[in-house]
Amino acid sequence: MKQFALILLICMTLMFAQPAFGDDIKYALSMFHFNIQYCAGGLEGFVPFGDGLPSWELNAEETEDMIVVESFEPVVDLFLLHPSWSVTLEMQGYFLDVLAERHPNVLNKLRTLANAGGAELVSFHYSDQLFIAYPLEDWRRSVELTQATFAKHNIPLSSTVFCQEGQAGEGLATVMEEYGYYTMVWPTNLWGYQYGDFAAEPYYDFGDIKMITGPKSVNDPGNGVFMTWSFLGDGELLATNDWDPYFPWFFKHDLASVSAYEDILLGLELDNYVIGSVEDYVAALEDAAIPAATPPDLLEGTWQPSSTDGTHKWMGGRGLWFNQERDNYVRTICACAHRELLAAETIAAEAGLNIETEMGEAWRILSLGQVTDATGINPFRGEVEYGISHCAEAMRVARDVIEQSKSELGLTEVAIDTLAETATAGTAPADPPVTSAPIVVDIQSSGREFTETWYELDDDPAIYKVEIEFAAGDFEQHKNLQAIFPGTAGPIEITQALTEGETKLYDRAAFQFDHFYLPLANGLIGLGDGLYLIKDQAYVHLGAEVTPTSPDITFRDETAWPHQAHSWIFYVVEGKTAALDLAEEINLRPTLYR
Amino acid sequence: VKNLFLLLLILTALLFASIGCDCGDDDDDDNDDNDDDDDNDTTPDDDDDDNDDNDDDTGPPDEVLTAALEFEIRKTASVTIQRRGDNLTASYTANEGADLIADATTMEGTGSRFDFDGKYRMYSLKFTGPAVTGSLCAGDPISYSLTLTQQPGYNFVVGGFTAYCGDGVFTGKPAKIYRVSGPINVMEK
Repeated sequence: MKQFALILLICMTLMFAQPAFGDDIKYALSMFHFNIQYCAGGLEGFVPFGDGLPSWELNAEETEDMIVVESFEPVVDLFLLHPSWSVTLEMQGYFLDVLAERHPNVLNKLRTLANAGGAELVSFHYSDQLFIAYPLEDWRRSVELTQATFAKHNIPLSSTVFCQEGQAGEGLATVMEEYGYYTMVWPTNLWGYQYGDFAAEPYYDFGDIKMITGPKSVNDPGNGVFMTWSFLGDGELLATNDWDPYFPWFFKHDLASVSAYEDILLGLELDNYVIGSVEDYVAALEDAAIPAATPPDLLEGTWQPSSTDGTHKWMGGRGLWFNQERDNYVRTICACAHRELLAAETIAAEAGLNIETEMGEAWRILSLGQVTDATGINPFRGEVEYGISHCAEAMRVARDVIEQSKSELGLTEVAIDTLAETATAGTAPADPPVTSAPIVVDIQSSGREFTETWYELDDDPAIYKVEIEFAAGDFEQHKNLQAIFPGTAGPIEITQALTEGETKLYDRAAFQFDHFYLPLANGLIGLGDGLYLIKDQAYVHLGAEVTPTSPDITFRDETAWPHQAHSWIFYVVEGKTAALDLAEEINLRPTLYR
Repeated sequence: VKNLFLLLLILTALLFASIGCDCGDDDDDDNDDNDDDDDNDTTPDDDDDDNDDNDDDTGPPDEVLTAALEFEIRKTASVTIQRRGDNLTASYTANEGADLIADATTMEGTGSRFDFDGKYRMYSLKFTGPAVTGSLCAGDPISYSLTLTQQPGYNFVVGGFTAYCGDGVFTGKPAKIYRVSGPINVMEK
């Protein structure tokens, strides 16, 4: 009996110790980020010599086809050869539409691979858009379209999330859960930029769901968890010997590159790693009851913040082709389009018009126009104009619906309140009274003339509007415009991307970066001491620079066309509730007078 | 490293080329960058005409504008717009064809001008052109939506030329959205 009890004790001990000894969790993960809008609009005009180099002059469809054939299909083919492996492929929903239209055979291969468990397909947006800079509603339309697109093409969609440019934010957690997603892959550099190097835990709590970091490996012998990344980056580069689609002469399927990667995976497999998906890895952790760690407070941003200054490169920062960039023009036009689309739906409902088809397409076009590459990292003119042309067409469709609805309602001048969802006869209110500046804004215009005009909208709580008018300039130096708003000491306070109606505080002093640019999806940022600043995204949609040492907030445009006048509008508001309400009325659900 | 080297090489060339680029120039061919008179551009003051008796298509236009457009950067097109109040009639010429535009096509169209938030203005025009053999639209005529955005006071427009399959079709999934941009000037007033 004593012997039996001892054996039982030993067995139980071994059983509970299993993860550390016998059944280690060993996964080799991948994240192939594919972007069919890698060169949004194609490569025509990219090379500036006269009519260009003919073989470099690829239109949008030819460029997309090149990405599919030279870089995407070879990766799919590799994993079809290895049924025991699983790869994680991230792409926008639009990618599937391109496959369905012009590469049905590749789509079939992808479906076969995914249904066999050989590929985990990740998609969080229909277009590779800068969604952390725009209202939640724009992303909702986008994710609903991407989920519908996956269903339409009968492709299973993973619960894992990774995004264009590695966009990530704590605010994603709630809506991820709402839309059936479960695991966020947080870019290692976006964490490290804020808090320095760190040892990755197997996984983390992320609201009520989970998060892992990539491409940070996990080496946790205590829990018996070993995870490595065989690949995380632009998927286009793996099969093409690191050439990207901007170089079509060299962007060719290279057998040796694929073979070299295959050898790496074979080696990992020999070392008992599961060549698996993020979903399977997280499920294995949960099955083994591995405890999830708690991450620090992380600011939203993108995957290479040290080289892009957070979101600055997409929201005011200049790139290589700075003469061709117009960040604020692109981002504000698309913000205006958001307003017109909401207004069109509001007034059409009032008029009883069925506009579902045209407005559904308008939202799709808007998501394409909001593409990151229209303003960063190094957009050339073709990409800049891709953003503007798409957002302008989305707006045109909306304006047609508004005019049709006005006619149906017998109204010539209408106030369309997208918050209250009403459309009634009305005209724009008169300008509020001009007042003196309640705070001192440091405006730097690089030699342009400028005016600064303050208006008082309310006195309880105090709401001010400031319009900064930069006159047209003469020189390239006049591209640089800047406004610094004074803050008072305290935490960084923002409304996180993909959230509304609340703010979050971040301990400024805890961050290690020198500075960081935030997108401000609803336009709001705290100035401290109960004062808030709101940018009107129709006029100024630049990143907001914060630092660990100063409470001041800086908006900087390095891409303002010198011969053009520019007008920026901000609001300064007393009290959080009033500020959140105004941010919603200005940027999320405004009233338009048409 | 290979990418970087080649990129640097091309960038250097592009940089020198782009320094001379007139993308941000007002193209008014005068020596003054911000003189409304010489620019012949559309200023907010032009709106004075909107409320007169000429807001119809019958009288003389309030102004005639012409824009020399670069189409998908490499090609060219031009549009001449007659504005009566916010109503527009226009003639659009595609100097070169494209996959959804017949060669050397001139089309007549109508549209409207409107302002929107951000001190922006848009010229929105609609045209219908002939079928293009072998195109995505097959044997159907093709409808085009021209959207030119502008910030008043600056005589440069940028926007899209969107092709829809079918006659008079301006909603639904476009066959293609082309990019257009260029200087716009008032020819008659």
